[in-house]
Amino acid sequence: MLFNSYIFIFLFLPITIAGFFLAGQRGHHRIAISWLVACSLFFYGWWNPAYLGLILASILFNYAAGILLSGSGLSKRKAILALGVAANLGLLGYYKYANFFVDSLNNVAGAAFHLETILLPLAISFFTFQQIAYLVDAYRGETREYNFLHYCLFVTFFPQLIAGPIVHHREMLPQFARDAIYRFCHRDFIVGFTIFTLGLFKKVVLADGVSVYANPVFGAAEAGMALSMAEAWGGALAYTLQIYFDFSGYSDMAIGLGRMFGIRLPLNFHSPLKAVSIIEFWHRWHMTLSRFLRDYLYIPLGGNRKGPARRYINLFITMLLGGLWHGAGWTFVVWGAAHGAALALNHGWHAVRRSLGHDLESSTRLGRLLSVTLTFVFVTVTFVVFRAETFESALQIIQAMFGGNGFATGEYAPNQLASWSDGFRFIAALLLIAWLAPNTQQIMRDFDPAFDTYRGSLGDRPAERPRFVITTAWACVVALLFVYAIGSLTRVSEFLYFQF
Amino acid sequence: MNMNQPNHKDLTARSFLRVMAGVAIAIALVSVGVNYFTDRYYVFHPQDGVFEEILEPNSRVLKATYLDENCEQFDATIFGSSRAAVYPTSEFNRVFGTRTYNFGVATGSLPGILARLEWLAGRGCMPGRVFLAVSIDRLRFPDRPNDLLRKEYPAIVGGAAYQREFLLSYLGSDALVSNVRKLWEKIIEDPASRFRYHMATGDAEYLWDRELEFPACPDGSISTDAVTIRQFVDYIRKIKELADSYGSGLTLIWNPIPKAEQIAHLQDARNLFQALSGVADDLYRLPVTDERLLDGRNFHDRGHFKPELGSAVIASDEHRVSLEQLTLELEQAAQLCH
Repeated sequence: MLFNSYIFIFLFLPITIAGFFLAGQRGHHRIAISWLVACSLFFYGWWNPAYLGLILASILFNYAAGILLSGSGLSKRKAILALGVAANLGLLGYYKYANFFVDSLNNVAGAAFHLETILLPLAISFFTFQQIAYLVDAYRGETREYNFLHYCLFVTFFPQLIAGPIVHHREMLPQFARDAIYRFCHRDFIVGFTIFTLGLFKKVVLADGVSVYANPVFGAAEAGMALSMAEAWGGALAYTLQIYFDFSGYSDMAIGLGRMFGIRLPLNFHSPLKAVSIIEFWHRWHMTLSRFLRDYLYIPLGGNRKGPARRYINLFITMLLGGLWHGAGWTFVVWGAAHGAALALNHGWHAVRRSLGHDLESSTRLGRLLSVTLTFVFVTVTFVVFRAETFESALQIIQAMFGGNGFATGEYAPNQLASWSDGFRFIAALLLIAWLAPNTQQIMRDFDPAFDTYRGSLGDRPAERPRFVITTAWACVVALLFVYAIGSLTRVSEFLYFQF
Repeated sequence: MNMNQPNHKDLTARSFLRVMAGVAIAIALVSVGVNYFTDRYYVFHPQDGVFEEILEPNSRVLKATYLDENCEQFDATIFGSSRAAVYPTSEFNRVFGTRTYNFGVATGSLPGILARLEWLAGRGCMPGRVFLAVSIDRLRFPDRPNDLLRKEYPAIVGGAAYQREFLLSYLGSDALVSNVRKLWEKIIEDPASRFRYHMATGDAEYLWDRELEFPACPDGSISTDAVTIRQFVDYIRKIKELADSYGSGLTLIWNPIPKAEQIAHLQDARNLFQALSGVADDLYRLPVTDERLLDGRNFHDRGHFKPELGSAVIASDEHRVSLEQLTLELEQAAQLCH
């Protein structure tokens, strides 16, 4: 079931909310939580009921492993953790990477192993990571004895189940124990609804609107067509904006839905296209994944504790695996490697500047503009590799972007892939929004919309207005955005991050 | 204004909800009403305005709606893009002795034409003669899944889900923006492009004229990739197979686009005709040396020729030539340009 569907918005969500608070307000907290778990499983099973067993087995296994970890001696704990992590990675490996592994082996070794195509269960990358983090923290003694129902809800809570944010047990489980969440709160509801509406608008109006300029370009490159420079840039920019508004819109919707139940989720985006460096980009883009990779991969690898060289290698490995997490394909690996290399280079550059006595915090307006542009171009070019089905088509587009098929603008759209006069206007408008407008949490910041996972200031300048206030004017704005977004739901498309 | 510093304009959360719900319902009702009654695409009221000067309608829906009830009146159909939509059916009836309907639609691509033909066949209305108008510079059209001007008629796509999506999309936000724009144009300014559609024949008239000058020779050559040509030919093959299976004849028509455009696409024409071998042997065309292809007065704009030029294509049996002959003709014209 998609958040951007009539059935979700007008049927599933009201029924789920009503059931939860009907039970909760009468003091039946266990029934309320059970109801929410059942609804979340229904939401998950809507896509493919066959995989309900898989998520339930995963929950049971990890919950049991967590209990064993918190009650065993050190030597046993190590073995249990190893087994638990291996089982989770094994599950992910089988469903997500088995076909990729066999295909790669066949290509490299010229073998002809055959494996039936394995359908990737929805959300497996997300719920596996959440539970690995839980096991590691249970091993470290950082978890308490949690209620099984609460644990089920921690994994299955439908707002974050399918595509994150990747929540941490420390953030979620204590909230389920608060009495306050079981009472319907009008204020939480309107804050949640407003955030949901902003996310829905970003997804169905902005992301889906610009996708019609991205898809034909990538399709044409896949078919082997020669693209003009304008077409290639049009497609690459459109995809960068599509994935940004799509995924940040989804995250807003998730955060908003959580808040309707009085539950706060972690922040996942903070205007990443405004980043002045690739380091900052990863502090702002898919922040809960960055946090997971930092805490459960980069730091265990040694982080920055073993000298600069090891730090850069650790960064590279972390991003390489981060790339592979996004999809079972070499294009994702190369995308991750490119970002890993860029991060290492960026840290190296900072080290050089620091050794020269430069203040990294201060910069000129021109310097910032150049830095944002350079970062944005890098992100856009690497997203071509991320989106493309094959290296050949990615190269085809990148080559065309940099004049490989000429710089001519006269016949700027020889392939008739889209109506580019409208397309470039739309792309320009979205770029202005991404670069100049305040983001959702800045608009909503007086209401503490999410757990702050950003390592920096969320900003408090006049430019970061408007701010949401409970007034008639805002009620009209939210109503208008909601109706407009609902009126655009016929342009249904799946969220891009579902596939990861 | 800060939430922590309430002032007289602040509402309680409960009042906010009430205002928001009320405004949302009001906006939704007004939007649906504006969309339904303005109906800029003529999908709810296809009969209205057909003989008026109108903004471009959804010609797929307009024409399919008519054929849905009247298809048995015709034994021949012209398929193609908006260019084909101006071929006068009266001329086809006169030359070929048919009762022809013009099913040319904006950016009518071959996959869509095949779907429309299958729909007609499924309704027991397979035309005895299928005229397929093609342009060498439009072997592929942009994919515009959300374009309300080009959404397919629900019965052709089939399925309750599409029917629902179709209706909702014309009551939705994109439609609202277009409808409001239409009202604005109607009140404030005169739109640049107007159309006249004749429901009973499918004939379209484009009611605008631009001053145009066409060079005799192109600046350079334009070539389409092999994949596009292969897909194009595959669809022509499928259309022909469908027509053959019903004993219908397929006639190709080479749209009369400006001479320089045709020469610029010489290599595409060679590749296309080579790939078409065995699928089609000949077609109707206006000789590339015909002076009318240089005269801007025969065109509405760079892409659309006028009905008189369209009539000229089929006016003489000598305009029916083999693919080899047309290749030769284009090559000779290209040589004169060098």
